[in-house]
Amino acid sequence: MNIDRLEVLVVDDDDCIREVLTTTLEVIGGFDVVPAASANLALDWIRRRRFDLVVLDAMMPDTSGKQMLERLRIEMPGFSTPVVLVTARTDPDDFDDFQRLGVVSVVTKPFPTLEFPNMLRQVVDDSRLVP
Amino acid sequence: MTPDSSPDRAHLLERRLHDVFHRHERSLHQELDRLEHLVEGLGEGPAHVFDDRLQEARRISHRLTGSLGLLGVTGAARAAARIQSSLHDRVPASEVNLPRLVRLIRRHLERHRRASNPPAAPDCG
Repeated sequence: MNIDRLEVLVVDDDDCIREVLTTTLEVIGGFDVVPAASANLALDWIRRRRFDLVVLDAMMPDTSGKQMLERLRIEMPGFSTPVVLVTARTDPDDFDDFQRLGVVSVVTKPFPTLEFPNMLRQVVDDSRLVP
Repeated sequence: MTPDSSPDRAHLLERRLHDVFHRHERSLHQELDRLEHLVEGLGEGPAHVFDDRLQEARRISHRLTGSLGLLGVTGAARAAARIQSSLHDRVPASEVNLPRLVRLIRRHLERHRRASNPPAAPDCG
């Protein structure tokens, strides 16, 4: 398992959830976390900085997670950072669309917070194995 | 720093999440107030009002399920999930008492708050 310090962008409009995710990833995972409260803020960060992983809320009021990824594909076609989608509701019909947009894993809220950092690290490790 | 899931870190996380809970406790209660108001009035008014209320109640219960679960207020998260699924499936009011579930969430929040603010230990000597 890789033990380097991962740089993770956490995108969620809910202040409380964003804070819980950031705290958990910093304290347990030792990750370097950048929190973003909207898709627009997240896109600004992605344009300026390279991340190892994006943790993205599916349902946001102004621009949804899916809309954000669609914009990202148009603006930065070579964007290859793995994206983990966090959602409270799973709709299997959406999975194919999300995969096409770079989502490598879908996590349903609520989930065990203590295990979340290791799960994300595994996602990053797996994505690095893909040439 | 390396990843570490030692008991010390788990304990530190627990304390930090209690801090997060306290910072957001007021807004969680405000969301619950709004949810209670919405579910109590769900049967009233014309169809479009019902739909608007239902949509908003679904959004709030969805948010509460996620945040309460991640904060570790598991009983409250379960009740919020029950509200969420009842609203999604349009379960009739005769089969599920939504205001009662909202009150149950409040009780769980209160218990969680007390648990994270244990009374000070008595002075020795």
